[in-house]
Amino acid sequence: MDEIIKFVGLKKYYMAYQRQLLDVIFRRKPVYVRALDDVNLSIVRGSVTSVVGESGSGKTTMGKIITTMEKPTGGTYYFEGKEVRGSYVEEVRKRVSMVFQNPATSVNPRMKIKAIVSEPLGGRFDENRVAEVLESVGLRYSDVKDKQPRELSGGQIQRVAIARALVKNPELLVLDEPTSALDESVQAQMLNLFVELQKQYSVTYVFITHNIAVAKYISDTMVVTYAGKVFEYGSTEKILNSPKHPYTQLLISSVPSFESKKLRSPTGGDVPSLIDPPPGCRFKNRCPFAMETCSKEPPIAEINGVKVACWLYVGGNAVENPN
Amino acid sequence: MDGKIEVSGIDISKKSEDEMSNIRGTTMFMIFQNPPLNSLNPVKTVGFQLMEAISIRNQRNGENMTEEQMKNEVVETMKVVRLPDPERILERYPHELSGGQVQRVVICMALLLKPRLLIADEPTTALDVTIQAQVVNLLKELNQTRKMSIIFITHDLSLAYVLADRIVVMYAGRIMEDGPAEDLIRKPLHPYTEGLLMSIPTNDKNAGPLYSIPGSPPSFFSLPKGCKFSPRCRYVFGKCETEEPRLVNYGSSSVRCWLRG
Repeated sequence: MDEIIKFVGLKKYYMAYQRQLLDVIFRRKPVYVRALDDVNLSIVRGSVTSVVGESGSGKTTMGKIITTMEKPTGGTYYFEGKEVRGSYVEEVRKRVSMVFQNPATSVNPRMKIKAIVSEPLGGRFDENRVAEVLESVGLRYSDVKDKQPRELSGGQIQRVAIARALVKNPELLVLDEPTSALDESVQAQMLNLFVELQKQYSVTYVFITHNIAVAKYISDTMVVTYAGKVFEYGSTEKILNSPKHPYTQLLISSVPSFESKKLRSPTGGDVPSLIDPPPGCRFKNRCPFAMETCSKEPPIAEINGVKVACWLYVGGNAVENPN
Repeated sequence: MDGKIEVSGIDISKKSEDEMSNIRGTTMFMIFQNPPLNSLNPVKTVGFQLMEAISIRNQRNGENMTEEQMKNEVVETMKVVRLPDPERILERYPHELSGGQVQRVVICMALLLKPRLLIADEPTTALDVTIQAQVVNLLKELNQTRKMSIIFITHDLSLAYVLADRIVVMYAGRIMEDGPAEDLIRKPLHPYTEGLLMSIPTNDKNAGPLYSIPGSPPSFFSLPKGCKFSPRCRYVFGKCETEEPRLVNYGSSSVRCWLRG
């Protein structure tokens, strides 16, 4: 097992608002939004890892840290076993790439397609390479090279963005909700393309999505995030077949399907604020199994190869699928 | 604009703007996709806005209620939509609430106005699936207990199936298929509906590539001749590319496709 990425106790805090002069003078404590809090994770080379969770759970922040767009506030990020800091940041940046959610806002509307795709090459225009990646994402180079993004459909622009991300042969690609801004009928085309490209370029994917069906289709491992924490992490198949964390169970049972007209509605309560989250498990106010120990930070237990951050599985009191 | 739109027997396409503002809110009410951004007034408290809704309703119905009664009704309705701690939320501004809470405040407003028709435009896309389940179950309950009709606009067929009695599938500005939810999902009549259903991932990638509808939706500036879906349809034949089919009845459904006559 060759780890390409490893997070140890990784934290990312954002300042909730800019500190003013008076705050400094009166030494008011800065207010932080804890977008990611103490995350431990490793990603195997050549695998597809999906990161699922609701909006605001830290999925995109995770992607941004992987691509070095954001610097972690605490903890360490290892890329190929080496800590990412100092001059190594630049090197990692050359080897990872990202595709964003909304294709229309992630490409320059004024540039020609061939210029967009060759931009990461740094001024050097390599026509053969550009043509090659554009063909591999299913676009005809001769058709699109001189067009501008507005002449293409949403799905086509997303293909251009993928070509741009692949042009430097990255080892790892972060895909941040790459299908959710596209027409439903185009989503299946894109998913097939991702599977094909992964075989062709043997690149590692981190696939950020909130769609469980998409995660099930594309990924080998799954990371479930909630309010800045990783709740469950392991093989996609194992997690979907027998979710361990109460939140994952709730998440999976709230996905509408064609099998039943009934939808299991979870207990009330809301996601805690990330500014001043309550101590202990972040899910305890909504959890049907909440107990006293839940006000303490849950340790990570390993069940059948899946890592779960929940008190239910600590020590001997493991409950087999409480459902 | 051609044609007419009748809402409980009144043709609203001929009404003036003044008359319309009397109909809006109490006859029909619309919930938008991104409530935190555009459905509530950011500089007024939630309480103010809900009280305003209830006084508008009273004004139109010629009812008289004391401040006290109005507030009680607001708090009661907030409990119906399961907003935690109603008294505290009333004092807050929309930006102090989470997306799910704002959406529930908007639904609460709809309940206070008691519209006969609720139009919900992707009300759950900005929410997480666990909250989506809550909202959907709430809407179903309201539909059954208050006999409120709902038009639910969504791109998620499985969500439509869970919520709706009847599904209308649209493509390029036209109704392609319209039928009872159960029939439409189990036995789709239109190739577009069939393609959409087949392209939903249910398995993992080892089971082979997904079925996908080729091409992409047409631009309204250059719609294809004949059936608007014909360039992407796998059953396309002669007539499809020249003549646009009409929406015809087919059993308990209606469909716009030459395959079905």
